[in-house]
Amino acid sequence: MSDRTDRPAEAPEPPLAGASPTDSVLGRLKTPVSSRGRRKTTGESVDGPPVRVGGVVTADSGISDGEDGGASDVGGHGTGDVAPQRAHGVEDLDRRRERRAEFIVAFWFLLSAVSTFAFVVTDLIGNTHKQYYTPLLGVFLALALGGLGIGMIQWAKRLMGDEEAVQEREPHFSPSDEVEATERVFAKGFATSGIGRRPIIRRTLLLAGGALGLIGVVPILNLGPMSGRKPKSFGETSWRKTRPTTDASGKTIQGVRMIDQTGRAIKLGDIAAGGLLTVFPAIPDPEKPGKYLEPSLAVKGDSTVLLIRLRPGELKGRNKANTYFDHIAFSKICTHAGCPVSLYEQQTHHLLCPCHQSSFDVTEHGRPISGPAARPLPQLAITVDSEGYFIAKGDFSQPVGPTYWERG
Amino acid sequence: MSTLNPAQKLHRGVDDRFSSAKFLRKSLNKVFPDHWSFLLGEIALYSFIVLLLSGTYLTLFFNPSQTETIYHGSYAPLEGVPMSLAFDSTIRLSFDVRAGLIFRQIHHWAALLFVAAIIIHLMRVFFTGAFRKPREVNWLIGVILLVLALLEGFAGYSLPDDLLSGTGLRIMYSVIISIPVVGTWLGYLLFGGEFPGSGLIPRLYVMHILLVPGILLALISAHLGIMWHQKHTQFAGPGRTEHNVVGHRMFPHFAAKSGGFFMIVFGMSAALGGLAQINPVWLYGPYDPSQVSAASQPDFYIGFLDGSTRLFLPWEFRGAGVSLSSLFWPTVVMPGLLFTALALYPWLEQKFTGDREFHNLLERPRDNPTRTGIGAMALAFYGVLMMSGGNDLIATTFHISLNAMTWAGRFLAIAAPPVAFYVTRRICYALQAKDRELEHHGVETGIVRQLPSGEFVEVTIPKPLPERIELTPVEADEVNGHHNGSDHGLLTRGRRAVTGFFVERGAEAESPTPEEHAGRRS
Amino acid sequence: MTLEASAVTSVVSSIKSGPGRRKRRLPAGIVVVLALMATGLLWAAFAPDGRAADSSASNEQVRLGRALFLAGCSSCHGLSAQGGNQAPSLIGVGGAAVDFQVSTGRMPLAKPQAQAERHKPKYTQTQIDQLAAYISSLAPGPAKPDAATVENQANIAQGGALFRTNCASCHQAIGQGGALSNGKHAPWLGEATSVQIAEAIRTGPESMPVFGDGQLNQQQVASIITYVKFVTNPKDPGGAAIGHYGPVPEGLVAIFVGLGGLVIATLWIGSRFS
Repeated sequence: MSDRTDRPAEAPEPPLAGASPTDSVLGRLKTPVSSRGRRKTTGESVDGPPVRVGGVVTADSGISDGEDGGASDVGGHGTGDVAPQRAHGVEDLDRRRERRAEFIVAFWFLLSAVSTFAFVVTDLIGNTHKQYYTPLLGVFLALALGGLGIGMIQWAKRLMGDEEAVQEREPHFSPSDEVEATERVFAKGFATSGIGRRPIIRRTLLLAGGALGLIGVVPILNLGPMSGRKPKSFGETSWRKTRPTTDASGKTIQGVRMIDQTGRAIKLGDIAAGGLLTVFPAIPDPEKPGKYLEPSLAVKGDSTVLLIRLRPGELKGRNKANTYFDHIAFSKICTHAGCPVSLYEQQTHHLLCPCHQSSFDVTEHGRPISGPAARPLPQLAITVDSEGYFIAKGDFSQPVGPTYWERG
Repeated sequence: MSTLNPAQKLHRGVDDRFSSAKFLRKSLNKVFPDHWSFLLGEIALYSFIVLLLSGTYLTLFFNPSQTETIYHGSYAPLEGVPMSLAFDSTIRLSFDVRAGLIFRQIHHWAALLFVAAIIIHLMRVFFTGAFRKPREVNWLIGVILLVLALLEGFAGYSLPDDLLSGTGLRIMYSVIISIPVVGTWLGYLLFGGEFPGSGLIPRLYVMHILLVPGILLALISAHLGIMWHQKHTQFAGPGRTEHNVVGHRMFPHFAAKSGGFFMIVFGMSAALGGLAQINPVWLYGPYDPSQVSAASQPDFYIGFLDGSTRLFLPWEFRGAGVSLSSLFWPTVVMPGLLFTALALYPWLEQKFTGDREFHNLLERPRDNPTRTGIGAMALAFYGVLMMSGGNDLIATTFHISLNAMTWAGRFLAIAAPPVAFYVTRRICYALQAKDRELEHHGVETGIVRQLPSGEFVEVTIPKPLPERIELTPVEADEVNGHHNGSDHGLLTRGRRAVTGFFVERGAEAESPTPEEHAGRRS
Repeated sequence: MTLEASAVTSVVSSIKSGPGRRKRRLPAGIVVVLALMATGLLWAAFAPDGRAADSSASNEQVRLGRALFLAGCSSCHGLSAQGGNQAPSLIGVGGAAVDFQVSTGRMPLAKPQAQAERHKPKYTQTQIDQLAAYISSLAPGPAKPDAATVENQANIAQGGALFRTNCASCHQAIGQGGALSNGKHAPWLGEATSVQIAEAIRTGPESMPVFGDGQLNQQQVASIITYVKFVTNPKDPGGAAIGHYGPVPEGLVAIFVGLGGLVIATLWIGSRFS
């Protein structure tokens, strides 16, 4: 790149209306470009002066102090100091059109002010429960902000002229003597500190710094409720309580019964053929006899079960294992990403997950038949207790929900 | 000096303390090039400010707590329903707080605009080659900003603890625990226990309102500071060179336009927030792990991950006592690779083309057919994934089988990118050829004239100059001619071999004459 | 066996024995009919050809219904509604299923497809009642519920909770419907009448599972219907509903209206004024 030279433009006549040859835009542009090669600078010229294209070019562009774009901007807009040969933005030449432009800008600003006022009034006296409230606030706020924005842009476009300024770029890198000088300072500093010569300091410093990093691990580990200890019950669910328990009235319960979302225990016969129900483990309420605890979100998170009753004859052979009288129970938690799998198509006995569309065949032990799920839905072995209530024979034979590393 | 107006007095007061006059004058005179596509990044910047403002209002009323409560409020269909305080306060914020719903909706729309604007800004920067030296670091910061914006958006989407976002969190938990070795630990620590855990919403809240916005703010400042320092790129044109900037000055023109545009972005967010209902969580209901809604989708910017997950095949590795979920590949590995490739693209391109020059002039997409083709390839892949993220809605809307949509998505995710690459590259070459044709023969006028010899010719006029200058392909010859390093070694030769992949060999013969070239560069 | 019978009985009784006026007016007759049905149900399940106990519908209704059936339905469902290659047996499906399928225009089906779509009904309500009477006369099944009972004692919040657990997974949280496998889909609930929703819950048309009285009692069904009626036509305080489909249309609006509008604004800002 360093061998690249900047050739001046061929300076063909630009098709700008009214531009006289001597005031050629390109002719002007050429000057700063060709006079300032990008390698020329050694740190003193950092910002070329903007040159007004088509405007009255000031002598300042030539006598700039070379440090900044200082004095080139003599004569701003609005002082009548506008180039007559400008192709665009002729608005400011025409008094009447300028007045019109002022009105347009003022209209938008006025609209903004009125809308702001309307917004505040609507906010304060409007009824939040009415359907007009939010849309009206939105319209007024949009007009208040948008009006201001449109006004500002109209102002810029119609009344600030259309000057095109040119500014030179600074080189993207420092001159080589600067670079070398800085590197020498670094080298000297390092030499003074003696970090290269004193390995014992260097090594212990590294050790201390590394050890300090460990402090960052502490808050991360402390995030968990067990201070970083491995969760023990991962993969276990609330169906695991299978040993005989007694409820509040002292009656023995053989297994975990199933309750629906209203807290009612499900009996054989409650579910119609071709139907299903979302059920949860029934944990007896220690305070209210005959009642069950409302399942917590944690229980629902891994122990939600779909109890499905197929039509007679749909379950055959080995697929009948762990079912009871056409009833079959599966974990509702998808083995793919954990969504509740609950789109049950009763004609095909497929369960579809609405998140990623894995589907499972209920009559074949919950085998995945399409979509990204790779594991069958865990089946819950069920039976009916002496009072006719459905109970789980034990926990799922495998962990519910999505696959994780230690699952094996 | 005796008659100073108040503004002068203030300015001198400041300068007496900070000697700021020179810096201020330089800043006011700073020139910004003028092209509509340079404003796309501003949309992202301004919607971020809208997010900060509207978000601050929401924090006054939102209660980030997973503690369970029973709703008793003005929205009857949820009367007596158990829910978290987070959801409860979102419902109150939407129905009972003055201007609560409008600012909640503005916040959500602005979030969608924020990410959409980042993506379109990234596309502009990519397709025009604005990321080239010396702007690679700013590109890298931009990619990090994009990733943080996705994270920030997902955290915000999850905060109301409604049925839709809770389903999203459940999937996120599953993704985290699918990570080999550390996955279950990580999920357990982040969620404060097995899903749904007890601590996630408050943690997400801190992340959403403090941690990530703080990093975003710092990186956006760096992004803008670097842009300010390096000066903006510009398209080639009359008087525009590698060594200057042609455009409008910061003050007053650019400041007025940008200030106005900020107001317009805010106004657009307000119009959407007031007129288009977004995320009506009261209709979704509170989160319950046993419930789910059909068509549970994330916000559009996470849609490509949902799509990749839907399309992925049920490949699960089991053995040696461990399992690797099929969820891991499309949700962790795929985005990891994509974003790494995106972040490193400037250096990859340098490596393959050998182009290590400074570039302040932009290329038009057609000027670099291979890069444009690569971009089209990536967009095609992204587009197929994003479409698949909503394939159930497409299936029901257009009465297509869902299974057919899945298989079509799988096929297209593999087939569409190479086709997009090839077709785009061909289009670029065709456009280049058209440009050359225009330059050599001029514009056809439709006037046919008979020559004295009896021959009929159509009259052409030369193309107007500025376009003629712009239309010259950019320095294909220079890029190719730049091999001043060692010609030995496998790496060098390999790089040389693939260089042809990026720069059309045939273009060298057709490269413009020195005169034309100089015309473009001056 | 007894359990089987009682299960099905409860489904029927729930529909017949709502707190409606009819029950109060004719308690004895209904009770007799129910008793007869309960004993006959087991036969219905295992002897599909057998004639079940006579229904209370008049013979005239049955005769007219049979004529309609032979003309419009028998080509697929068979001359005695025993079913065929293309269509299921209608014996024992009950009047509720007939009323649902015909009053929603799903039946008669123009051509076999993945799923019957909702259309304008081809029969008048009188004709539908006659068809239902004929099908009910073959074997008892869930009868058409009474319009007055389906909205009684409803609790909208409870209906919402039940809807989200049992219905939203297919019909979407706002009742917009959703995709099922292989071209099937759960329909939008906005155009279903209260009676049709009750019939669908009780009879489980096509892919939809059945919800008997033991799963959702009459009052719960009424609550669900009330919630469905609310949620499919809610007051949207936040402006246009953009489909009630959630993030997908929201994303499209954000990209094409929001970002698209702002890109047009950039073109305007970047253009020169002339």
